[in-house]
Amino acid sequence: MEKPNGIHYIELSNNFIRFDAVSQLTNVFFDDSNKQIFAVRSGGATGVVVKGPVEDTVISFCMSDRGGAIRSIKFSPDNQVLAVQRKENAVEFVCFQGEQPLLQDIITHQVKTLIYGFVWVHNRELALISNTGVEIFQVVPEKRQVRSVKALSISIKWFAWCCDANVALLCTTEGNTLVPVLVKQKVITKLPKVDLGNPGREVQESKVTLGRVYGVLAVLILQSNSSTGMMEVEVHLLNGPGLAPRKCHVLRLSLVGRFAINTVDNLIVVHHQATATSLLFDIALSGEVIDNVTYHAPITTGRSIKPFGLKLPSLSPDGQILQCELYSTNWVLFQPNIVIDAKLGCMWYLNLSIEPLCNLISDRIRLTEFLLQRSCGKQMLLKVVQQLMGDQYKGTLLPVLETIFDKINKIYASWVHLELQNQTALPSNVKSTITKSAAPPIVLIEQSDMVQIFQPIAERPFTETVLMLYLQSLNKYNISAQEELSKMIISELIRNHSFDTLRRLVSYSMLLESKSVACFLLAHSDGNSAISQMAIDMLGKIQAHEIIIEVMLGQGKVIDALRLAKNSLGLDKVPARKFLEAAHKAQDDLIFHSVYRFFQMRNLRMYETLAFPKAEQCTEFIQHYNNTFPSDSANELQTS
Amino acid sequence: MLPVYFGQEKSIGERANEMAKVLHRVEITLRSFYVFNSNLSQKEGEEHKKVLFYHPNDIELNTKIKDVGLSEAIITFTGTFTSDDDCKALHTQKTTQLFYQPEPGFWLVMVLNVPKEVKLKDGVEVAEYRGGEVSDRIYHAVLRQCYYMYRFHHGTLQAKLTASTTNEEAEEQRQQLAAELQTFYDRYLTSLKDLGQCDIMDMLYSIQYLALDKSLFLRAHNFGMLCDTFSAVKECIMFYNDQVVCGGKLSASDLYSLHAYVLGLASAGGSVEAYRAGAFVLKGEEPITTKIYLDLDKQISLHHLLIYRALNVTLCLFVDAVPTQEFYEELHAYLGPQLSCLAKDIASATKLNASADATVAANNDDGSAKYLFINEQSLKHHTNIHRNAKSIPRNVMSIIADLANPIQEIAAAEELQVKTTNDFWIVKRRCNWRQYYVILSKSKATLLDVTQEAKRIFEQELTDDVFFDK
Repeated sequence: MEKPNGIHYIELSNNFIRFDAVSQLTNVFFDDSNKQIFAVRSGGATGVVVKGPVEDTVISFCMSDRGGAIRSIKFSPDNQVLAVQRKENAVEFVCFQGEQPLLQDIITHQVKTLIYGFVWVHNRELALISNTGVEIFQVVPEKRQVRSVKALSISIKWFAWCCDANVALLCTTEGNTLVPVLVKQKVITKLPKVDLGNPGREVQESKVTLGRVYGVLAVLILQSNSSTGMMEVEVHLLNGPGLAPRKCHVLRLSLVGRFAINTVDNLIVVHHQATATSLLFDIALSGEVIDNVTYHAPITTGRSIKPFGLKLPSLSPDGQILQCELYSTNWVLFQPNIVIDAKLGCMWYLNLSIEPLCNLISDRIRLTEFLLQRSCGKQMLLKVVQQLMGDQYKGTLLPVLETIFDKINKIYASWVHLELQNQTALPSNVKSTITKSAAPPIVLIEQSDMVQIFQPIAERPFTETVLMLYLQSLNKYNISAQEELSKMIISELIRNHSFDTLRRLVSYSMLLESKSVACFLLAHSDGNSAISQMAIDMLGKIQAHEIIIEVMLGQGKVIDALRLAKNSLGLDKVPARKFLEAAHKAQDDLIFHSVYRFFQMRNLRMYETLAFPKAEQCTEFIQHYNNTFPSDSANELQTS
Repeated sequence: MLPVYFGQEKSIGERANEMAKVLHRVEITLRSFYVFNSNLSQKEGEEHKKVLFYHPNDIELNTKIKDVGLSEAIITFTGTFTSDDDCKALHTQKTTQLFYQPEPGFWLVMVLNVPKEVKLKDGVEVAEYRGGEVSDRIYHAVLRQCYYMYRFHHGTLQAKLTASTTNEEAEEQRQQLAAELQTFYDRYLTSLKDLGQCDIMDMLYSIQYLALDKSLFLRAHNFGMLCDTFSAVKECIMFYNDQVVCGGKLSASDLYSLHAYVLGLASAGGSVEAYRAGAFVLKGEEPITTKIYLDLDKQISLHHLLIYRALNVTLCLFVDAVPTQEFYEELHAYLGPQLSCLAKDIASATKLNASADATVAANNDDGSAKYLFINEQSLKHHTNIHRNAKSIPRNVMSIIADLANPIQEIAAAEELQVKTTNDFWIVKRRCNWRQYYVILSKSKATLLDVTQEAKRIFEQELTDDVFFDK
């Protein structure tokens, strides 16, 4: 059954927790709210070891065995009060000081009903679920009191608890309805019941799993398909109006037998014991839609969890490795992703190994959709895109690439716009609580990330096409190109002599308009006047007249530069020396004459004389003018 | 102040002649057009061999040989003073001859009858030839286009004359080339536009580009990625009606030739309705495939041109192999839905623009100021001069043609104001590789008025370009 060399997309985490295995002396309990494992020896008399949520967090203490086997044991969230249920109608509270119990101060709370279980909803508040309803109690250790805070009366058959969402799912005795109840500090809210289709339907406790998928509470019900007999999972999401559960998805397992369900990274993992495989479902992916219900097939065919070798403590240096039995009958699964082997004394978290999974999804668009929802999907997705543009590049795959860019940028755009809103909303909202920044998307691939993966494919024949596709996608979502991307596009277009395209990109302002990009254009113009024109256009758009003047002086267009300087800086601010020097360098007497005369006229207007002020340090040019145009200068001397 | 030049078109004497009554006027016409290569006849008595084509055909061979001989003589004569192919034009009283050597040894000569006005002078009919109205630069460009159009369809002339070994083979090739030139130019010269209407846009190979918004432009541009999808497709050019959407990497002259060719086909293609879902332009039952020679990467190479049309969008695909039936079907399946969708979107976008333009055009109809803006780099023009509508006199157009700077020259800023004899003012500005002309007809305007008016038009019309002198 095991495939040691096969591909495995689910693995048991390496940060597992070891605990004393279940034996005649030892009982093991797990609290899924605090993710704590309780190993209770001899009813607590010879010690209780609490571990979790990680191996290193250990609390150990002893308490007296007060008769009656422990049914349930849970710490309050702050680990200061321990609730222990030994009888079916009573809960004891043991207060702690530091890590040691104050055994003399045990508060026993007795009720008249049959207790199904209890959950901590706050450091000192506990919800008790019994056959007659849900009641919240406040524990007051100082007064050794337990006070009732809130109660909901309803006759209950069984219940399930989701600690992430603070929701209890109650199965009522009357009519077998499933009622979700929101239980928070001092509040119990009854939510609309789960619509089970036909009214007489009875759902067993073992068939129901509560989990959170994409931030929404999901009631997962295992049931067999009436026509095929194969098992299916109904997914009821609590995202309707007033959190009314809606049957949104059905997961087709196409198998029969015993199943257990986990959720890992918003994926629903359905373990099948008989075949020792786990099926993966992602309700965010598209499926067959019938009557507003999406029917999903597994993302890929079922595969087993990656075999896990447990290194046993041993004296020999290489140690002994125990291959753990997977899908063992000793396994108990807890939400969202906890696997406990009570016999072995080991607790793992289930993890997704995304890389092997990517190899199993051949549809690149579906893979993109999938990876965009995975917490560790970013690097993988970048790798996938890079492969598509690199070794696996094919012209026919361009539409695929286009779709992938769109999917990435859709998320990127929503984030960019959200950030923009937060920035603009800041001044109006005085209270900082409102501007609490929203959580970024699960996978956010920004322009800079894309540029990183574009860089290795620079100067390939198809790079221009790919970059233009990406630019189009950005444009579709109203995101402007940043500097790095703009420069890359410019280089590729120039390399391919696509001046026409480049010109239109510049004129449509689709590239970043900055001095740096314009100078980049200039640097790559290499005497090509088409590019110079675009660079100057861009500088003109951003009113960078000083740079244009320098560029024109550099090109020997002294008159152009002077004309622009006059218009942009104003007549009185044009530096005479700089232009005379450039005109002198141009070695064209006509240009020099024109420039010189221009400044003489300026002098006349500003200082009422043709002569240059001393501060402008123009003596050498005055000399040059007098030498070149002796008759002119003679006339001027006479007139002035 | 920057210098201002006044242009004086005609002498005082000429102006006096205008007083005489004009009986009728004969516009510029084509007198003859010939192609020759002197190297083709080395021996005496074989002079006819160098004449590869002569239009009109129905004249004596001896006359053709003489004409060619005269042209050869003129070229050789000017060659003693200047470099090899500097002989551009020769003006006689009744004709203007234009010379063009596109490939070493091959000369194209176009002889035009200059316009003439028949006047009644002292009771006698006198023909007055107006050679000054013929702009060398415009018609030289027309001549050049004659060659480019040939090259576009048949490749270079020299490529046809490869044999040098046996005389017989060379003669056979020469005759083939002559026959090919005959068929091509017989058709081309009859379809040549009225020479009297040729203007600066012909000279600059200027084509109008379709103005689109960003996203539509990118969509249209990225449609070109089908070159990557279908590796046989080497280049893809998109037109919308008669405007260019994406010019690809074609050189300006090739694009102009292609544009002219596609426009010529437009009428043959049938109504827009036939291309609602997109289809290849057919000739009979078969899609048109034309052999085309393109100047790509500085090499003239053969391609097959396929023309696909969806609504008003015409897609020209250059394929490097003879397409098969499956290829057509595959392309059609790919292009049909996408291109017709794009065509619809462009149509709705341009409709909006068109209505805005119509109001502008209505305002401009009073015929006061005309303007013409040309980007030397993209050859895009923006004008309210209606072509072929005689909105401005020929002499004004000739002046603009003379003022227009040849492309690819180092562009320094210019500012010129010209007044013509018939009281038109032409204001030219040039900067950043753009040329701007404003044509005003105000007889009593002062220099200041003209400057002000031109400034107003520049400010009003130059919205998309950067012009520093506003």
